[in-house]
Parts: sequence; C-alpha cells; structure tokens
Amino acid sequence: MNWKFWKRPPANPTVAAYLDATSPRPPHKAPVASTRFVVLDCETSGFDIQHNRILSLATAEISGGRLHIAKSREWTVFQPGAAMNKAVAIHGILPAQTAGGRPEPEVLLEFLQGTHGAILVGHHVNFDIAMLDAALQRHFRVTLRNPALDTAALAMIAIEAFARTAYPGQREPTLDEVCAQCKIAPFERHTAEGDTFTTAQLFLAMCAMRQRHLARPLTIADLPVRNG
Amino acid sequence: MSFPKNMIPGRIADALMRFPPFSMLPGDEVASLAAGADVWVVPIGDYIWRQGAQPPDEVLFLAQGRVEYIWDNDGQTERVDVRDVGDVLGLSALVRNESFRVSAQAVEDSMLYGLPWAKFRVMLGKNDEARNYVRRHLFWAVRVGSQIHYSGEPTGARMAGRAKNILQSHLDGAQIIQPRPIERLLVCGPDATLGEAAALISAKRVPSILVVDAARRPLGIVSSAALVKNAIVDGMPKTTPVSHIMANPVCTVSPASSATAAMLVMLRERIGQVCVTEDGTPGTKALDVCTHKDLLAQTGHHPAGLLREIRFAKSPARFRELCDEIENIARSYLDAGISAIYIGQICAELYDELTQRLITLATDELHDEGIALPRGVAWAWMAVGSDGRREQILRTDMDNAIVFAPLPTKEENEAARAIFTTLATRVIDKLIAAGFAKCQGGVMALNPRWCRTSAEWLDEIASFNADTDGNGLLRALILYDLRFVVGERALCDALREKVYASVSADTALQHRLAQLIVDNTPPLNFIGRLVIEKLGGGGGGEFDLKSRGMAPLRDAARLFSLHYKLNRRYSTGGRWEELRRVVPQRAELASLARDAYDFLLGLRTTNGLRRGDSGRYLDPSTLTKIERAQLASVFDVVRTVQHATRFQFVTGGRMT
Repeated sequence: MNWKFWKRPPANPTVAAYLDATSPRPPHKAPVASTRFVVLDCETSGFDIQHNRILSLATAEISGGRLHIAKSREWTVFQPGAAMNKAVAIHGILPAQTAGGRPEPEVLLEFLQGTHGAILVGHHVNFDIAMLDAALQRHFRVTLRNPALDTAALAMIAIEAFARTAYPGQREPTLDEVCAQCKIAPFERHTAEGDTFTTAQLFLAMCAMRQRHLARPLTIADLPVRNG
Repeated sequence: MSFPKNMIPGRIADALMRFPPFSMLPGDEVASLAAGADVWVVPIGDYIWRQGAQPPDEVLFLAQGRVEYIWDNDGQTERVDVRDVGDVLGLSALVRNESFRVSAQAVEDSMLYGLPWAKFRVMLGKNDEARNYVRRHLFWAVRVGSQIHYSGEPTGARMAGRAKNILQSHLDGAQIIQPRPIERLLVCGPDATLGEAAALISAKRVPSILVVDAARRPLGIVSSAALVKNAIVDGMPKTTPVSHIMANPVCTVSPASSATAAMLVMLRERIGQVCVTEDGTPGTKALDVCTHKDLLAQTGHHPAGLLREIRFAKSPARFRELCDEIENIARSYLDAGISAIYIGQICAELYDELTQRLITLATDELHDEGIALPRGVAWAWMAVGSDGRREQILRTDMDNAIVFAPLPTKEENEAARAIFTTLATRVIDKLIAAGFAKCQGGVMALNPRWCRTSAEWLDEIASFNADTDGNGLLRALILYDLRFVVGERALCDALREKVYASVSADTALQHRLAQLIVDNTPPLNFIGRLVIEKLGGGGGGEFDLKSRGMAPLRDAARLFSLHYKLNRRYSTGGRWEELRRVVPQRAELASLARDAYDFLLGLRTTNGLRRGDSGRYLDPSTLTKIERAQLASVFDVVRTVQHATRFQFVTGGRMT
C-alpha cells in the first residue's frame, strides 16, 4: 500500500531501483571498513540552487577502506542555458565548453546507478546534494535519499585545530585549510575531479586520525553522518 | 570538452614518476598502472602486513608517512628497516614469491597506493633498467636471513655515468705503443744460421729474433721455442738458415696503436711477439718487437707497468707521481666494482716494491756517505698494522718496523740500532716525499721502539698477557699483523710463529682481546639510516666508519686466526677466507664478515678518495639510499660477529 499517496512512484526504472536500494538511515553499527562511500563534487554555474546549473560532476568510490581509482567517474554536463557569470572565473568552464558534455538526465541516471546504498561524502556536501536534488527534481521528481557526510564537519571532530569553540564567528574549515592540516597537497582545485580526489584523500586521512584517537576500528556512528 | 579524461590516475602517476623504479618506466605505462591503483591510509601503529603473511597481488607505494619493518626472531622483535615517502613496499616478497619475512608497521599516518602486481611485473620484464633497480633492492630483505649480495654491480652513486668495467678502466689509461731505441732491436738476415740466431738470442736475453731483409722489413720471426723445437728436439743441424724455421708472415702493428689493442691481437693470434713497423704493415721498416710483458708494462693503469716503473725510478718527484698513479688505479678499480680487498693486495705489492726500492736507494746513499750497514747482521723490514694486513690503499698512514739479529754485547746492539734507525729515517723521509703521511702513533722503524733485535721482539711478544695495559695491548695488536717486506725472511717468520704460539696458548689474553672487540664499539642495535645519523652525532653529523664498523671485523678476524693458528694469510679478508675454509662451524659467519669488510673497505676508500683524507669519517647524507641499506646490513653482520666473539671467547662457550 502506497501510504505516501501524494507521491507518484517514479516512472524511470533506474530511479526506482535507486530508491529501492537506498535507505536514508545509515547503518550506525556498521564498521567503516565495510561501508561503501561515494565521494562527490560538482562544479556549478553559481551558488543559486534554483537558477544555476551543474556543469561537471565527479565521483570516487571508497569501499573496504580503500579508494579505488579505477572506479572513479567524471561527467561534463551539457548546459545550453548556462550563463556567463562570476563562477566561470573560478572553475574556468566556459558555457560553450559544456557543449561537448552529456545531457543532464543521462548524467543523473548514471550517477544514481553508482550511488546505490552508499554514503555520500563531500566538502560542504550539502550544497552539492542540493544542486543534484534540484536537477533530479526537474527531471525525475525525486531527490537523493543517501545519508551524507560533510568532510568540513568531520574535520571539526577529527582535527584539533578546527575543533568547535564557543567563540562567535567560527566557520567551517575550507578544503584548502583541511588539506594544509593533513599535509595533503591540494590537486587541481576547482575541477570536479580534482576536488573529489582531494576530498577522498582527506576523508581517508581523517578517518585514520579519528581511529587513532579512538584507538578502535571505526563504525559509522563515529562519523558525523546525517540522514538522507 | 577540454578536460583531460584521466586526471586522477594522472595525479597518481605523477606521484609515482618522481621515484624509481617508476621514473625508469615509460610515462604511459605508469599511467595505466596508476589507473588501476587503490589509495588508502593506515593510522599510526597499525600493521600493513604481518610477518609470515602471503603477499597480496599488489605492490605498495608509500605516498606519505613512514613505515618500519619489524622482524620477529624467535620471540625477540627488532626494527630492521625504515621506509619513507617514495619507497616501494613488499616488492621483495612478491618478486621472490614467498611470504613476508618481516611485519610492516606504520609509525606515522601513512598513505599507500596499491598497484596491480601482475601488470607491474610485466612492465619490469620489459624494462631492463627498472628491473635491475628492483633486483638491486632485493637485499633489503637480507638482514632477516636470506643471502647477502652486496653487488659486484656498481651501486647507485656509481650508476651516474661513472660505472665502468675493469677492461674499460685499463683502456682509458692505455698508452700507445712506444718503440724502444732501435739499437735494442735484435735482427738477422734470412741467411743467418740457427746457431748464430741462438747465440744472439741468448746473448741479448730476449725471447726471439726478427728476420729482416736488407731494408729492415720484417720477413719472419724466430722464437726461442722454435729454436728448441727444431734444433734440439728435431735435431736440425745448426747450420740451417733461419728462413727454414721462421714464422711468417709477421704480425705487425703501428707505433700509434694502443698497447692494450696490441695485446688483444697477440692473444687472438696466439703468438708471443708482435712487431712494430713504421706504418703497421710488414712492408715498412721494423722498429721494435714487443712481447706480452713489454706491452703489459706499457699499458697504462696497469699494476704490472707500475711495478716496473718503480724498479727503475730514482727521483722523489717520480716516486710521488707513481704513487699518485697507484691511487688512480685504485680509484678506477673501485669504480669498476673490484673488491677492495683485492685492490688492497695489489696496492700492498706495489708499496712493498716501492719500499724495497727506497731501501736500496737509502742504503746506497748511506754507503756513499761512508756509513755501512753492520756487517754480517741479518735484518728485515717489516710492515705492521694496516700495512701488514695489506689494507693500505691510500697513503694516509705508514706502519713499519725493523728486526735485526742480536749481537753479543749491548753496546754492539745499540750501535747497530743507531745505524738501522738512520737507514729507516732516510727511507721514511723518501716515503713522506712520495706522499705518505707519518704514522700518528709513531709506529715507524725510525723509532727505536720499533727497531729491535729479534731477541727483544720475541721477549716483548712473550710478555703480552691479559694484564697488559691499553697502550701495550695496542702495540701488541699492531705487532700481531707483522709481515715481511725486505731483508732476511727467517727473522720475520720466527716472530710470526712466536705470535701465533704465544697467543693461541693464552686463553686469558684471547679473552682480553675479545673484550676489546665486544666493548670497544657501542652496542649496535642498528636500525636503518636514521640511527646512523643519530649515532654519528659526535663528529659534526659524521660517522666513524673505522671504529664502528671495520675495527670489530678486523680485530675479530685477527683473534679467530690467532686462536685457530691460521697464519697463512695476512689481510682481514684473507683471514676470514681462511677461517671459512678451515673451520666449518664458522664458515657462514666468515663469508658474511668477509663481504661486509670488503664493502666497508671499499666505502672507506671511495670516501677517502673523494675527500682527500683517510676516509675514516663518513657523512651519512652523502650516501645513496642503496648504500645506506647496505651499510645497515653490514652493521648487522658486525653485530653477529660480535655475538660470535663474545660467545666463543668472553663467555667461554656458555650462553649468557
């Protein structure tokens, strides 16, 4: 019985499979070593979730505690309507360049296929998820259900220098700041792929720190994972 | 779309390409390796693998952090090595296809790249340079019980364009053939009889005679062997013309050709002489006939040539030149990867020849000044200390002594001693002029304490015992390495026999000597290069190669050979070699120790040549990664030798 009768079941089978396989609640007692994480980052044409568009998207997969380079994916999204604005100066993707990319629905479906049951990881991941949600809403009238982990929040737990203080005006650390703390050289900043790789490395490094701190193998409950 | 398709693998590949062996592989192959990589982080204290585990199908690259290898040896664990950024982990086990010999523990948070081994192995198979690099690194696992090979292959520092083989080092210094004055050429016409030819050959004491025509063009050559065969064995009449038995055509070379090349021609043609003509063909005038010996002497950078030069040299400047040349030979042999122990032996022969020549010159000088050596008194010049062990490659030290037969009265003895010390002073002045440094400890024959009658020496040797003080013991150690150089050999042999007889019978003295070996050096729990640096802290970050590494090996070799009365060899390497052959239960230790000593001697000599001093102090930062690892293995051998010494001599065979 469909209790949420105001929600139509998705027409697209790929989307339906994704929704079936993905639970919004993370398995809190599962060890981190056996959990699948998908690290993601997208470059957009701006910070306005409703009006700006995703220009490129990259994912990397961590399972068994290892980042598998062979399974990392990268898409450029064809956005005919994207405007030339200040964001272009950051990521350097001209609207015209997206012409070589793939249509947004195709990219989203491939993305969904790779994220079945995984925990999404990103730096300020909420923004990326919001952009993806907006796109998914436009095309398939669904949103992402995956639990998510923000490496900025993880950094505030795992790294002493970013620990939450009582002082006003504290902000979450940026990717570059976390990189500096973990002694990881940031790579190809402001490209989806580069930031994904950097974030993945940071995530692994911070998990190691957290594990050392707790002196036991990590479970999901030890990480600041929020429900999807 | 303008993005490179494989940015993340590219990033991994970039990291790999900064380090060997990946830097030796083609870029696209490394990229494909990187595409299949895994990345993970190991927290401090976690084990990457455990000893005895089977290696997974991947090679680990340490991208960040530090890893230590822990060896669990029958319940005792020790750190055997350290890996840091850029090192490849677990390769030895994969290459040998065996389980891990050590555990690997992260001592910092370490980021690892796992690379597919199957793919990497194929690449290594195709790329010689990378494969050789990997093979040279296999000894990383040595210290935990597999075979040591310190590489006759040149090590890293020598790989940078300096590597050459021994033939090359000869060719580099090779001279062109220099014909001697034409009067020396022994010729006869084709009509000369065998009898005449034989008479000429024996009169001039050369091995052959050249048969020439009226214009002195070579027609053939008659060697003494041919004369023996034809005239004596086959009974050919002495009146037969030489043209019947001469060998022709004559093998000819031009005077501008390389002496080494001419030797190779002779070897290939299986002949004993080669004729030098004006343009290198038999159609022009003969200039000279050269034998192997002549050419060898002319071949540059060859010890045989130098030996001959030393015999004829007179002036101090010439001796200095020759000694510089000896050092050059040592350097080029070291570059060619020749064992330092052999080089030491070659140099010892040359320096002995030099000493002999200098003594002859000094005796002549004294004679001219009216001072004659005591008539009828047998005497001998001895090399002691490092010289006695044939380890003097560089001219940084000299250790010598004189022994002479005792005379009836004390006054006569003192008179003879005065003359011998005068002689020694002359010789040593000449040695100093040739570039040798004076012995700091005064171990020189000009010192009356090192110029004694055989009776005095024998008394002194007999007087050494376990209660001898430090200085006395040092003197004893120097004396125990005595070696005959010039003069009456029997005197030296008697001393040497006495040394062996007195020490091998005196267990307490052996115990005392063993104490020196065991105590003299700090306890060597030697763990990788970082500890080398830390231990060397005293001398401005420098490390004392001699007292830390060579002294225990050297002293232990001496002690073992004294104990087992192995008196046939003089050098440390030779002593270990003899121990290996004669005492089966020490065979393994002896061969390890020999190789280790060889490595240290080579390292010290190279270092000394580079720095222009004795090479005793080594700056660890000048070592390549491979040399550091080798040094660590060497110190492991030192420790093993110390254990063996302690077990046999200090605790008297009881386990402590």
